[in-house]
Amino acid sequence: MYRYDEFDQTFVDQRVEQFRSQTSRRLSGELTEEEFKPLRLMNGLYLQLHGYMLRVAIPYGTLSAVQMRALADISEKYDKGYGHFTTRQNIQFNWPKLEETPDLLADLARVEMHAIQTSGNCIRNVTADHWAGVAADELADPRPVAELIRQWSSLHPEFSFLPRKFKVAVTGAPADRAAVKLHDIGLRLHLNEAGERGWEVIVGGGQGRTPMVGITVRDFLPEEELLGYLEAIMRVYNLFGRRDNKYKARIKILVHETGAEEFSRLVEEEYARAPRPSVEVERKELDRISAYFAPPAYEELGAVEPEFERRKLENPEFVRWIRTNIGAHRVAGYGIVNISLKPTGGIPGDATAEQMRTIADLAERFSHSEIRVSHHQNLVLPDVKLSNLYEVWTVLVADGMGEANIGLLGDIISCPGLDYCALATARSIPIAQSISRQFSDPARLEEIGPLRVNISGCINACGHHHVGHIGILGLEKKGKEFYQVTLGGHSGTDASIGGVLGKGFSEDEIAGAVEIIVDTYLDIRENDESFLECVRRVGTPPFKEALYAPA
Amino acid sequence: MPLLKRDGTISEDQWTALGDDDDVPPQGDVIISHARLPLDVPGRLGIRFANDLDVSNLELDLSQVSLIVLTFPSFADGRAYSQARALRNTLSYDGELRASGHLLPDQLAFMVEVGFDSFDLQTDRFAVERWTEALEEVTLTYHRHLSRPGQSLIIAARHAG
Repeated sequence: MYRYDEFDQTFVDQRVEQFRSQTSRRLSGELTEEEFKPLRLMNGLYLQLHGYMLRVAIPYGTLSAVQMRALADISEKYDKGYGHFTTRQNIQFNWPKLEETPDLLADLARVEMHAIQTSGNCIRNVTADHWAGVAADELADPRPVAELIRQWSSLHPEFSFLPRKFKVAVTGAPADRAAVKLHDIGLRLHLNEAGERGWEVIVGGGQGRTPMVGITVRDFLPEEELLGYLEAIMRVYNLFGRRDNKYKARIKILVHETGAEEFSRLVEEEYARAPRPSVEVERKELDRISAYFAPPAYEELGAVEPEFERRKLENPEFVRWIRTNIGAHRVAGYGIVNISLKPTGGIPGDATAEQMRTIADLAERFSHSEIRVSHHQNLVLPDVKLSNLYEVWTVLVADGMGEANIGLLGDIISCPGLDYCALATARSIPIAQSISRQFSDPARLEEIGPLRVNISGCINACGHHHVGHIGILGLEKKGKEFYQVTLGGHSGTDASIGGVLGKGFSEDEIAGAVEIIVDTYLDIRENDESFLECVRRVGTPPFKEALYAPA
Repeated sequence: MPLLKRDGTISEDQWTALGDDDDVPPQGDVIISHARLPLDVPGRLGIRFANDLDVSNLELDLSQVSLIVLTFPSFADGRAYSQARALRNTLSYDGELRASGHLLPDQLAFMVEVGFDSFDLQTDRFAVERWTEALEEVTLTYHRHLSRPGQSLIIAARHAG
């Protein structure tokens, strides 16, 4: 994975000292809260319901065992001994004190981490396929380009005061695990007829109040032109994006109001104007970054590992976990271990300091010291030999992380909701917990098959409910929380936005409503049809009928 | 009003800023809004652009212009950064570029990097040193064509020699 050179390190160190100065000027009263706000947000510091929250960047979701251990230490030193992995592959600490955050950032810098641009109206931490570099279906590792974008977007002088936040996602595989059509800019690597690599550039996707699937402005952009082209898109957005209403300020609204064709024309016009030499990415710089992502030395293993096969015969629980949690690795004899942070009745994405250290140990022993964070709020050990899976599983089970539910109904995505967030209109964590308890039987989860439940505690949609196969949105009316249900959302290659079913449900009713939806599906599904395929075939009527028809 | 230059020095502003209804004085350098063009002025010509003006599509001979003032109605409204870049990069404007409005010391480095030369400080809330210190805080940049004097280009340093 990428390592800082002396320049990256100095840059981040100076940034920490700059924030230390800004914080002391806020504490002395020289800066007003209004003026301090964008400065602290550009360093990931939010003011939440109960105090400050710090969001730490995990660029494209990749971190080392050393970094994971540092996060565990930080959670104990500055917080209450746990952290929350987010839907943007970052980690949040919920209880730091303002005056201590410069020290926290200095501790992060020591392990080559930062919180730069994890919030604010700037280019946010770039996200990527969490199986990047190891997925069997991948064309090329997208992380060198993600790292290039991380550096390019860091303290970009032109694009630090945008109309609104700006999120970029990249993928190098045909199966979209990075939700590239649902970001301000999504980049998908593919090959042209001559076999050359290029990027499909998708703009204007997003969730929030106005969910939209992005449009393709360039089908095939040569890699050398990438940064220049991104700058053209950003400039059009910075100049013409709406600033009169923060709920209409994202680029998706500009794309929508301008029209896809006219927007593309504006971008191409701006791109054509830019002087050519300023838009090239130096090949040598891309090569320098790419070298850090060179594949590790894999052993030559057979596709069948006798020890592994023997363990499978002995232990059906292990076999279930293998079926649900192991992804196909591009090298024979290896597997991608997906660690569920969704225990029955737990808080999605939370990990204790102890659990973080366990994962760090496992990564060091079995996965080339590398860990990934997925936007499903789970963790990944990307490089585990099949013969080591049994031991990894045993350790995970002992530490409460052995849940066999990846991609199944128990693998619920949820924002922090009203338990933490100042924007929330309803709680979301307790809803996730009650549904997770309702569907705790692993055999039943497998019988139901792939089914994503996403829960957001307000219309800003941080829990990505719009793309949940079952989406749940927490709202509030006359002091009472209620939950609206959508069906048929999806964030993959064939992305779609879910449709609202009807009247909302109370906190007590919602798990029962999910039960009815699932039962209806089991009743009407044909052959091996997944939940999503079934909803796409029959639409919402059978589900509405089951939920709302008088008994 | 004090005028800060990109080298950190403070001076008195020698230009006269005219409102849209003000008469043009018989002599001196004046700043007028873009809306008043074309207009004969006695000395050098300065133009003030609103921050929603599409500068790339201006039909304007910038070689006759000595000063352009870009405005920040709020420090959080960043349109003028892109206007500055368009003026410098695509329109090759090489006269003085000035920032005016709600400016913060913490933004000064960004402004210099996109091409501003001078800053119309409408406040004495911040000590002069605060403004000059702000230019020294981050001495490195990842940006290939945007930097300020004294700042090192990471890309160049990495691949030197």
